[in-house]
Amino acid sequence: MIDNLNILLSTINSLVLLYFLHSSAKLVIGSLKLTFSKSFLNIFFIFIFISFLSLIFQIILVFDYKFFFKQKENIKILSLIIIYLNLIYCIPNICQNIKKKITNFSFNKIWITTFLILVFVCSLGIVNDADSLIYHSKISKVVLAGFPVNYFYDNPHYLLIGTYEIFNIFPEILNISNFNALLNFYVLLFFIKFIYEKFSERNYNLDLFLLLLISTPVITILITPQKSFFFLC
Amino acid sequence: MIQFLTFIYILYNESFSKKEYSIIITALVFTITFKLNFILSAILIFITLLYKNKNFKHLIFIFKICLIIFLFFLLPHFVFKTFYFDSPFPPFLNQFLDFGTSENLYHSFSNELKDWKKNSIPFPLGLFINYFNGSFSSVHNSLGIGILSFIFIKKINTNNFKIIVFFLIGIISLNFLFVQQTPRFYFLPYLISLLIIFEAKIKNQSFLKKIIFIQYIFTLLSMLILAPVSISTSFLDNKMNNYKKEFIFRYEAFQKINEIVGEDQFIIVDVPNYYSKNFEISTMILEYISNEQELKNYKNYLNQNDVSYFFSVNNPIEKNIYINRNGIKFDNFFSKCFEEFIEKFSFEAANRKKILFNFNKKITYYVYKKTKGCKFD
Repeated sequence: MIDNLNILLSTINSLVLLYFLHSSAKLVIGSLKLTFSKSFLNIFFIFIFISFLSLIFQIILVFDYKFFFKQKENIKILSLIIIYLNLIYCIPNICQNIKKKITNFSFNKIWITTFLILVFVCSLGIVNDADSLIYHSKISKVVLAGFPVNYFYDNPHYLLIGTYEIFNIFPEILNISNFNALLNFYVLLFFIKFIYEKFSERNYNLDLFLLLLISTPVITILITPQKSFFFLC
Repeated sequence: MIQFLTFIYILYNESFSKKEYSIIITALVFTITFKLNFILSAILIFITLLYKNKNFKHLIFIFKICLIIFLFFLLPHFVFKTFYFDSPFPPFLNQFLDFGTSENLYHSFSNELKDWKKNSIPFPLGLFINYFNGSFSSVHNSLGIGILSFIFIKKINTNNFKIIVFFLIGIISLNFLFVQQTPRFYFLPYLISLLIIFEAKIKNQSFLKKIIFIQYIFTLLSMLILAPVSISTSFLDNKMNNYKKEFIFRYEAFQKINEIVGEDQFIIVDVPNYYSKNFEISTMILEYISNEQELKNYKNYLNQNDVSYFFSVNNPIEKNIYINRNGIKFDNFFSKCFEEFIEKFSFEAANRKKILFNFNKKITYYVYKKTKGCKFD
């Protein structure tokens, strides 16, 4: 029961964290007065935020590999306060936007909506694919346990880690293990939105293109695990 | 999607906004630090960008942005990678950069990654259908039948056809030379090829849509199989964690290992796991170690860390044989220091596909404790 409650709380945290990144992206797009598709820029800014956060983590790890082990509780409390304050501040906007977006976009393409709902459901689960268990999600656990990830003899797959795996320390501090799958869902949602926003005026094969994309069988193994592959490609 | 969106932006955006270009280029360069095989596609997208912006002022601006990103982002990232992993580059680049020895760990690991495919159907057909070990159970690991859409093209309308073809030839050649011949590494080229369909005149479009819709139903079913695994392991599990034990790779084993060892110890296993509460040093590195110096480094690494337990999978420790990819056999130096047999335990192998298929594979762990003060040499 307590375990399930913890997972439920961490799922809520993951959604609130994603919303925090989304609203930060919106804020920057607004302040820079960018005119290109907002859905497109949302994806890019979230990606850039993650990269910068990861860069800061990498610099910290070079100087002190035990920093996150020692400070994880402080970082957790501070981060939760920030992301939940952001949520409270934005609640009136969220309610308005959800209503508007549902009527405008999602449900008039039932095959896209069905697919997105399933991706969303899959993205809520804990880590369960082999690659993530072995290294994508494992390395952040190692760092947070205060172990020295100082060479690759312990796990040769660490040679393949990149910016996302280091960023993953942050969601792990908040007990979130599904953040990348959730991010994949977000990217797919906003990508579809961007395609309809940007290309609906001319005579493009929008539906066929999106049908080809979401029906590609390999998408199931790219979008549901805690890998950054779908986000990047 | 970042690289694909960057490519779309370059192709379909006619106005040049410095702010937007800064964002796009920054994101594109960042992708190479996420997953380093994206270097290849990033280079080609960057060439496309330069081709589309032949204006000299634009080029100077683009190079300034690149310089700033290099100094403030790539350089610190490379320092981090070098500090932790001895090299800033991925294994496939390291094998070319390490001129000192002909055979090394990077080379061996890189070859292992390149050769990995789990598909009996040869390339390139294997990208579109998967058949392995006498079964179609991994058929979802394919690009599917979407490629057939190209047969239905009546007229190619895109002005970007040459650029798309240049990119496709470039990336397919580079992928063929350097990376795995698996569908996921061809997902980006596939998406980019779909841009031709995006703008083309298609004959019998409704018939084509029906064919693709059948594939969509299949993909949807694959997702429908994954969804219960996700929900049951996360929200519906009982005290015994039966769903996790059934579906999550080695979950049950590591619960038992945590029970035997406790927490925060150095242990030796074949494969590390997210659900471990200890620090695992893996024996799989022995498959890639290619020379005496690397073996010495591995033994030093074991000696430096206070390793407490050894978990031998499916064999007692003395029966383990360690052979690297090149067929070189190593002495079983573990058995000398792990003399004390503690216990053995077995469990059924976990697999997400158990929701559909019947797997009865048993895995047995043999547990050994290290003799105090014993050194690996």
